[in-house]
Amino acid sequence: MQPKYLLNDNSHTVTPVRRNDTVTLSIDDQLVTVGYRRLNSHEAELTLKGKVRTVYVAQDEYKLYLHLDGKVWQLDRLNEFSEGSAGGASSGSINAPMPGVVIEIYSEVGQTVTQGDTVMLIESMKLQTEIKASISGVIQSIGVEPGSNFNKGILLAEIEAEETNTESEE
Amino acid sequence: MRRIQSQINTNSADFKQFKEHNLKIIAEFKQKQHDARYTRPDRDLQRLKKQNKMMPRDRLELLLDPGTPFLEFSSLAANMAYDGKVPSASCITGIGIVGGREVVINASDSSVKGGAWYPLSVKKIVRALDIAIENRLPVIHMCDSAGGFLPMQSDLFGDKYMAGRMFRNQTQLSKLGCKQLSLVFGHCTAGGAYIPGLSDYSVIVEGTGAVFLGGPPLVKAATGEDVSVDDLGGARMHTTISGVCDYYANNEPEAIAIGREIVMQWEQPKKFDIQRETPEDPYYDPTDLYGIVPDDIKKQFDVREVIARIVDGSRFSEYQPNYGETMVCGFANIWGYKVGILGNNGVLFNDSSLKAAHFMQLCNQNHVPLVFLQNITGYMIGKEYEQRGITKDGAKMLMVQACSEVPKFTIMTNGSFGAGNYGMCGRSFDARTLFSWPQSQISVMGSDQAANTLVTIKVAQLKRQGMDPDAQQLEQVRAEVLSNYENQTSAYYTSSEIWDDGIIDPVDTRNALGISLTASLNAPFGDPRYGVLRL
Amino acid sequence: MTTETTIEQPLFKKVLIANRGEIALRILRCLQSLEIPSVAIYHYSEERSPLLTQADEAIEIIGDSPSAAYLDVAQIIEICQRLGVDAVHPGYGFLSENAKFAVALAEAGIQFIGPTHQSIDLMGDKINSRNFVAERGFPVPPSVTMDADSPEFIDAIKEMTFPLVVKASAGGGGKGMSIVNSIDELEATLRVAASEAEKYFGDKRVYVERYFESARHIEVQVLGDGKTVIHLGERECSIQRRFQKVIEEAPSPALDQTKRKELCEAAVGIAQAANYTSVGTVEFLYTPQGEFFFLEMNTRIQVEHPVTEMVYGVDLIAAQIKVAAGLPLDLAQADIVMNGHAIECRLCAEDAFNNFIPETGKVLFLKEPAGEGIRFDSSLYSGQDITTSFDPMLAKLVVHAATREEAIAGAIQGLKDLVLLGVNSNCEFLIKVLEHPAFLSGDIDTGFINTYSEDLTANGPEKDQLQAVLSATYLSDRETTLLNDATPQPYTAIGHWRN
Repeated sequence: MQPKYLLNDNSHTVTPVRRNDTVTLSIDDQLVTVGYRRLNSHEAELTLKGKVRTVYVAQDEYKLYLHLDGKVWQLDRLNEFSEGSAGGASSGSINAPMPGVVIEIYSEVGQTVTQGDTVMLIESMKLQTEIKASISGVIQSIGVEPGSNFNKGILLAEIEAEETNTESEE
Repeated sequence: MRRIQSQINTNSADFKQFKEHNLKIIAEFKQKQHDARYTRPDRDLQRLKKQNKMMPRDRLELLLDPGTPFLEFSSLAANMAYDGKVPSASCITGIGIVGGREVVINASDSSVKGGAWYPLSVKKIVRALDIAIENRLPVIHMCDSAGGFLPMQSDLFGDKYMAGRMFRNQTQLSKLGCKQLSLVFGHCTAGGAYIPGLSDYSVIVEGTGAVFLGGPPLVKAATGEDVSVDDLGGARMHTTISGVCDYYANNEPEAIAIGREIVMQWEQPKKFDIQRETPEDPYYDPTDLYGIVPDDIKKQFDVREVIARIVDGSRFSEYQPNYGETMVCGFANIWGYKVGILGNNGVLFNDSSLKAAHFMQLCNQNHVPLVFLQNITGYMIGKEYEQRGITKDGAKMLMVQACSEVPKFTIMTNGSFGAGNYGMCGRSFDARTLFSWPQSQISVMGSDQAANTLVTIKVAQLKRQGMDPDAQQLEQVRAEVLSNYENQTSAYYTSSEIWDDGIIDPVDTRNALGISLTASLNAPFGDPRYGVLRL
Repeated sequence: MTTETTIEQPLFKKVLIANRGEIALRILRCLQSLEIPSVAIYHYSEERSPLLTQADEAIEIIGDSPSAAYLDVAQIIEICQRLGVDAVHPGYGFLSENAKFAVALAEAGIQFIGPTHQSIDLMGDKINSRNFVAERGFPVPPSVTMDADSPEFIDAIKEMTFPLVVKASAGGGGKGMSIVNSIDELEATLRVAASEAEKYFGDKRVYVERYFESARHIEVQVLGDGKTVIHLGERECSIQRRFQKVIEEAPSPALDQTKRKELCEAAVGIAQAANYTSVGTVEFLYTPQGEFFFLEMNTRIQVEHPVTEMVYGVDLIAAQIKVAAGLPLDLAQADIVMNGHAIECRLCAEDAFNNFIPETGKVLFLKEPAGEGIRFDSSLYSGQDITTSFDPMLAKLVVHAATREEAIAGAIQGLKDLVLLGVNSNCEFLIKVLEHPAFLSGDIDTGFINTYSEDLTANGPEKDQLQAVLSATYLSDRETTLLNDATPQPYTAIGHWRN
């Protein structure tokens, strides 16, 4: 399995090649030799091309955070299980675009909605955002209730696509 | 430990000439190996693509830990059999690292004849499982085989070391506590079903993976029952109803990811503790080996020059340097591990045989694994040596070598002729691994002598039939005999027939030995104990 | 920083801190220095906050939501009575400008550490306070404050110069504010603003004011004891996003001594007119032409109070508590001497490069910046869940130095030294602002972040830096480390090798 990391929406491959006193890595198919000395569980010293940097690291599952050159970098390790097995097609799942709180829900389970209909109103950062139906279909589930707080990415609502109008082509 | 002082002049005409000669041989070897691994009829590639299957070697790379080695066995198995149409004997075997654990891999190569088992496939798989048994290694089976190749069933089914031996070995592995994992990518039919069946863990891929004793057509013929592949032995059925397989995977990468997770739960075996130093690269450049090994098997070279390009820091503590000088013995480290090396610098005499026997006893007592660098024309013959009991001394060497409790490793560096092959731990003597350099040869005697002997026999035959071959005819007979003989003495034939564990580039010797050694330490060493020595 | 007086008798028997986060800790430190016993309140989602262990007592408060708990007047008063609390410090936000709370406390015989409820009432209503100030001859921005439903309202607005800003009368903290660029947008904006105002403040009254695009936000810190009002200079708070301050400094680079005196005296005049007790802030708009207009008065301690404290060497919260305890000011205007320059950066859990969308996460590792002139006000702790239950502000970095240039350099270094892992913050954005030439030159206004939005974007890593980031990521990744540690040697030393 080739480790892959996502940084600013770009995927990077980091493959170890050899490890002695220094470590040789292939980063996006370029060979790089680095020195890495762990000082404690969160602090290390990285030597690359003669430059020594202090690095602070922390990890939450697949999310890796590091502080280097006076800046925090957040990377995601791509999950080996998701690769290739991710569900396909235009999804009826509406996930929270940002963390926030639910102000009002305009739809209910079983209701038929058209793409673009407002399903609920959320508030984040003192701004209200309308959450719209991603596809036309029937609401299968609503994952939140008015007043509830939610984190980015959680499932707000799920719509099952209508299968009737297949003839009408646009 | 002192560094070997190399006497090689890399600017000499000999060196350059040998190097040019050997590089050609290496290029030819690499080409053959590449073809065996990757060159396939388009039809087979299209078929895999249509089945949405990965190439077996892509699966393997995904399974192995990045940044770790894979020691492949017998990549040129069957290269001179079946008209060369069953490259690598339709399977990939070797020792690799998965989830930080050393494992033996047994992967069907479904890009070759649907992964069907030919007689040499069976031999190769049995050998891989023998390696697992000898070294107490877990095994990962990557199953995608059409099963036994029916037209040759008589050569692969009935005998002790044929197909049944794969399953017998699986049971013995399990008995020894060696874990087995099957990743079912394709159909495992009939006997093949026992591979996952006898594994401790199994993962099966939706759609393409299936396990059954009899496939749908056989069921239909036998009982009239109409049943689909999925219902009879598909991923969903086996992971929810029968329990034949443990984990359901949506696709091959996911199966591999699940497999890796399983392996990471296995206990990390404790290795047998032998003397170990911090590894050090050889002081002398291993690529010098190309200029050291001569362009003619009859030309002599100093095995110390080879040792200097394999061992840590090129350091070698030579044993009895002034006694029995045709047998070079001594201690060195390979990837840190202490080993006792035996290398040939000529024919074995009485003293060199006794020296070897004594040295191997020392190694057994000290728990030092043995490395044999074979370049041997045999034991010395002639009245003087027979009278001095060369047979007794050779027998002592053989006895000690064969009864050694420490792991043994053999490299066919050049010639391996006659009983020298036995004394220096040839195939019959249970080296944990045995690799050949591409220009090496194995035969009961040197090809010139053998050809002469065979021509003499042939001429006698012809004369008995009332013919009197002239010089030209004699030469023709001789050329024919020589060509056949040489074909069968070549490393390619050796490797085709799986008399070794593969041909390796000489510069890879250090890594091949390093991995073999590390793997061997999973099995405990016994205490020294020998048969009766004829003193 | 603290004005040293010998305290024989504590000023209060026990003070309850009706707040959370950095300000609660800040108040606690002050109470400790004044040797006043303290009571902290907390919602269970913050039960691991250092506040709990450091306060003398800590009481859980419950509510439908975490913030509702901190707004529950009855519950807080019940706790005060149960524990014998005789004063409450409200901090900022929550109940700090809630006159009803101040009244309820007074009725229960508990001192509210802040101004009188009359002052809160007067200044809390923007329309009223505006009119109050205007009537006393202080400049206010051109505005229309009449009832939006009245027929003259639109006509009056047509007279005004666009753009305009619509504000909620009961508003504050940037809530319920929106810009109107043309008459066409007006009606819709008014409607939305009124409904938001209703929702947030329970008061749908809004007013319309001229919006000065290139004006600065400058505010004056005042302190009164009911008799005397003094000022502690001004703060420049022009760096704002969504009408919320991001970077504040003292003094303002825009004012000379004359202008400073004019502005500060106006602030003192307004506070005096209101008979102001406690600490307060008078906010002004300051135009490039040198005019200033009263915006509003905040009747509480401000988030950005530390910049004033560092420049003037005064502990504003201690002063606030002393005044609340009935002590006269122990400082005269002449004692207030400006020393050097201070800058505050608000560290927020937000994606500053993507519309300041809030970020959530868990504090996995924290290393606070430290050094000469650096103050880091925070209640962050390892393992803290950062949610959207509260304001996204995590901490404040305040840097004091002899000059503005040095303070900026110190703040940049402080932000680079700050290590906060586990929740994305606006740290890099703050550095971008501080490093911006326009900021360095002091040429700033409230439109700064919009004006320079193209400069204030995230930098991708350079090639070497990317390799450093990826190497460090790979080599620190728990999964790959475990794998490497599990692998027997010499396999990783041999590395990738195929025979």
